[in-house]
Amino acid sequence: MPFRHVYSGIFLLESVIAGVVFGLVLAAMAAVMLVSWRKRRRGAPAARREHLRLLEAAFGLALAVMAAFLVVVSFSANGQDFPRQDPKPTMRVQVTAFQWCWRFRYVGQPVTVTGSCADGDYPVLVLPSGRPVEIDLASVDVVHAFWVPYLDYKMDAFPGHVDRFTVTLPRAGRWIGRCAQLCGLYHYEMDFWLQVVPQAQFDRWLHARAGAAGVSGR
Amino acid sequence: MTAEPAVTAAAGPAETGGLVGWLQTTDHKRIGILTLGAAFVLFLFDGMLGLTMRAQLARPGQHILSAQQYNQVFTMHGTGMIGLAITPFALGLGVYLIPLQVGAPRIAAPRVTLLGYWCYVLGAVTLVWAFLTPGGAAAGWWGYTPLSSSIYSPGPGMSLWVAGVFLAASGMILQGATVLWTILRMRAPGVTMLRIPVFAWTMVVTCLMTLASFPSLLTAMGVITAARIDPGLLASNAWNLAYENLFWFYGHPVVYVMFFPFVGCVAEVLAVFSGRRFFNYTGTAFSLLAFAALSMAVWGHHLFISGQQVNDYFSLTSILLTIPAGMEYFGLLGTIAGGRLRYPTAMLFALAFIPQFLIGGLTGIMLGTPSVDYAVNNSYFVVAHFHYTLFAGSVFGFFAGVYFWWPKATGFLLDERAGRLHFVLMVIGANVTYLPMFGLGIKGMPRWVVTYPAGAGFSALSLISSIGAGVIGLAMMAFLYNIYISARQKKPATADPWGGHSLEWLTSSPPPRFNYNAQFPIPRIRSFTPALDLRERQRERQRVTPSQRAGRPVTVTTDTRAYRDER
Amino acid sequence: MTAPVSAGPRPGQDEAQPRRPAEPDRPRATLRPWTVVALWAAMLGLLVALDVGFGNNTVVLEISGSSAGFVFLLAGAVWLDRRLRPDRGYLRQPTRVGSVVLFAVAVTLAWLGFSFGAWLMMVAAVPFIAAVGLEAAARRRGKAARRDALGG
Repeated sequence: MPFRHVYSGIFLLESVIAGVVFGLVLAAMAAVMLVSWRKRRRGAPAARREHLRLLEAAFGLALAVMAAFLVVVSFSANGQDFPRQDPKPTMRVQVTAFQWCWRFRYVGQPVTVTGSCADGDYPVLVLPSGRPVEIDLASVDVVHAFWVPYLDYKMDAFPGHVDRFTVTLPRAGRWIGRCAQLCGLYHYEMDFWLQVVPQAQFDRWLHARAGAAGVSGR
Repeated sequence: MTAEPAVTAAAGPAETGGLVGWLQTTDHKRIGILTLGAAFVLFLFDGMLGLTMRAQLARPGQHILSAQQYNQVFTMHGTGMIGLAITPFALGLGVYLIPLQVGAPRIAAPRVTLLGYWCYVLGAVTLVWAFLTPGGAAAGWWGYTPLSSSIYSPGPGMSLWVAGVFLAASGMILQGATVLWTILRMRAPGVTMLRIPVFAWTMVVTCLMTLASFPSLLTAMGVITAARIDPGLLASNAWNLAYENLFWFYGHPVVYVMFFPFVGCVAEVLAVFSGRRFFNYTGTAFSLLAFAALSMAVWGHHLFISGQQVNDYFSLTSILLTIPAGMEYFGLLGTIAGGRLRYPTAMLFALAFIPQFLIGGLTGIMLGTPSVDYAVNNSYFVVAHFHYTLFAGSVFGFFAGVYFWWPKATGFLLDERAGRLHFVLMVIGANVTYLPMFGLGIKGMPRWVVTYPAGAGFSALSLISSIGAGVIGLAMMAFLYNIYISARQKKPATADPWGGHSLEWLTSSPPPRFNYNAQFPIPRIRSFTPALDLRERQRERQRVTPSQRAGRPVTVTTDTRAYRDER
Repeated sequence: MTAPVSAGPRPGQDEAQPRRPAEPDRPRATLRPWTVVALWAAMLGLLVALDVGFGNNTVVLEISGSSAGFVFLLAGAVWLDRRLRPDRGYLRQPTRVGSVVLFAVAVTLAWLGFSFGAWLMMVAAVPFIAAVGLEAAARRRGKAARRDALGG
C-alpha cells in the first residue's frame, strides 16, 4: 500500500521546506523593519538601488533548483503510487457510488454489501490484509469520490467510466471512509467503513456471505 | 507646444449628477466606483453567508441550517465571493486606476466598460435570485455535471445560477478587455510599456488571463445548459470530463485574476511607504508574464483525483510556479529592504499580505504534488489553503489598495485609528479562522458538509475556526465604522497625501473629469515613477538656488543614480 | 520644467481634453504592446507543446491550444490597431449610453428564458430592438454633428 507511506514522507519533506521558507521570509521582514527603524533614528535616507542583477540571477537560479528538486520528488512519488507494473491483484472489488451510499461487489463471488448510510447504517468494505486488491470505482448517477483518510488516498467515481487503483493493506483494522466530491443533499452522510482482516478470516467471511445470501444481502 | 488641435472632438456633456448621471456614466472613475461599490455590498453579503456556515459548523450536530439550505449557502458563498466580489474588486480597481496611471483621459470603449458593469450587476441579481429560490442552486460553485443537470438539480434555481454566472463573467470579460486596451493603446506619450506602474503590469496579466480563460467558463455554462435541456447528453463520460476541464480551465486562472491586482496594490504601497522605487521592476514585469502563462497551464491539479489525465504534467507546471512567485517576493522584499518605512494602515495591510499569502502559496505547492493531493484534496486542508491566498492574501492586498487610493478617489482621508483597529481584527480573525482548517483537513474532515459527527475529532478546531469568523465580522464592522466617521469628519486630501510615485498622484483628489488638465498636467515621463521623479527634480532645483543667492560657487549636487533615461 | 499637455477649457466644456504634445524623450527601443501579448501567447504555446509531449488527453489539449491561439489573434489585433489608428482615438468621447443598459437587460432576459421558458426570450427582443434603434439613431446624429463641426 504505497499511498500512505509515500504521502507521509513527502508531506513531511514539503512541510519542513515550507516552514523554513516561511521562517526565512519572516526573519527577512523583521530585519528590514529593524534596519529601517535604525535608519530613521539616524536620519539616513532610503536606499536608491533599483536592481541587483547578480543577486536577482542567483535567486532565480536558486528557485529553479528548488523547483526542479520538488518536481523530481513529485514525479518519483507519483511513480511509486502508480508503478508502471502494478502488483497483479489477487482479487477485485467493484465499488459503486450512488446518491447517497455505497455498494461493494466482490467480483467472482455472489457477494454484494450495501447500506442506506442513514442513521449510521454505513456499509462495511471488508478486505484482506497483505494481498493486492484492485478497486474498480464507478458511479451510477453523479460524480462521487471514494476516500479513506487512513489510506491517504482518494479517487473520483464517475458515471459511465471506471477508475481503477490497486491497494495492499499491511495490517488489520477498521477505518472510516467518506465521500469526497459534492454529490447532493446527503453528501455529508455518505460514509462507509473499511475493515481489514487477516487472510484466513477474510476467506471465512466471504465464504459465509456467498453461501448465506442469494445475490445481495447485509 | 501651444498649437490647438485641429479637430475638437464632440466632447461629452458635463457629467450629470444624480442617480441617472451615475448609472449612465461614461466616466471610468464612476464606473470603477460603481463596480467596486456593488462588489463590496456583495462581499459583505457573501461574508455573512460565510459567518452563517461557520455558525452551523461551530459545534457538531447543529440545525441552524438544513442540509439543503447549507448547500445553497455554500454555493452562493463560493460563486458570490469569486464571481461577484473579488473578481469585480480586481477589475474594478483596474477600471478606476488604469487610465489615471497611464495618463489617458478616458478608458478605451467607455460604453463597453459600462455594459460590463451592467452585465455584472444583472448577473449578481440573477445569482441572488437563484440563491433565494427554494431548492435552488446547490451544486457548489463548481457546478459539476451531472449534479447540475436537470435530473439531479431540478427547478429554476440551478438554471438561474447558470444564467447569473454567465452574465457576471461576461461583464468581467468586457471590463478586462477595455482595461487591457487602455494600457496597450492609450498610454500618454512618454509612457512606454516599461514605464507603466507595477500595478498596471499586474492588470496587464490579469486582463490577459481574463480574456484567455473566462470564455471557457461561458462554454462550461453552455454545457450545463445543454444538459438541462437534454440530460441524456451526460450519459457519456466524455461530457462530464469535458465540463470539469472547461470549468477548471477558467477556475484556476480566475484565482490569479483574484491575486495579481492585489499584489500590485501591495507593490505600490510598499514602494511608497518605504520611500523608494519598487525593486527589480523589469524582472517583476517579465515574471508576471511568466507567472500568468504558467497559471493557465496548471488547472489539471484540480483533477488529480479524476484518474483521467496525465498528472505529472500538471504537477510540473504547478511546482514551476514557485519560480515566478519567488521572483515576485524578491521584488516585494527588495523594495522594503533598505527603505525607510512608514506605517499607515495601507502599509500594515501590505506587510501582512507578505507572510499570509506565503502560507497559502506554500500549501498550494504541496497540493500541486499529486501524492499529497490524493490524501488532502476536497478536505478542509484545501479550504484553508485557498482562504489563505484569497482572504489573508488578496483581501488584505485589496484593503491596502483601498486605504491607499481612497483619498484620491473621494477627496477625503480615512481615519487612521479606526484603520488600525480594522487591521488588527482582520489579522486575528483571518488566522484564527483559517489556520485550524489545515488541521481539520489532515484529520480527514471533508468539504461541503452541513455537519459532522461528534466523535470525529473535528469539534475543537471547528469551534476555534468559527470564533475567528466572528472576529472577521467585527473587523468588517470596524471598516464600515471607519467609512462612516471619515465621511463625517471629511478631512480633505491633497493631490498627493502619501508621497506617491505614479501619475495619479499628480492630479487632484478626486481627479477632474478627464483626469488631467491645464491645472494638473502630465509632466515629462522618464520612468515608471513620474510623481517621484517630479518631486526629486523640484528638490534638486531648491538645493541649487540658495547657494546661488548667497553668491557662492554653485555646486549642483545631483544624485547620479537618480533615474535612468532608458526604457 | 513641466510641459503642459492640455489646452485650457473651451466654451461648452467644463474640463479640457488633453491634446497630444510633441513626442518627449523616447528611448530608441521600446517594448511594443503587441510584443507583450505575442510573448505571452508564445509562452502559452510552449506550455501546450509541453503538454503534447506528456501525452495528455485531447480535451485538455484542445482547450489550452485554442486559448493560446486566441491570444495570438489578440496580439495581431493590437498590432493592427496601432497601424490603423495611430492617434489612439482618445479625443473621442461617447455620449449615448441608453442603448448600453437596454442591451444588458435584453441579454439578461434572454438568459432568464432558460429558467422560465422561451416566452421570456421573446420578451427580450423588445429591449434588444430598442437598444439597436437607439444606437443607430445616435450614430446618425453623431455623424451629422461631426459633419457640421468640420464644415462650420
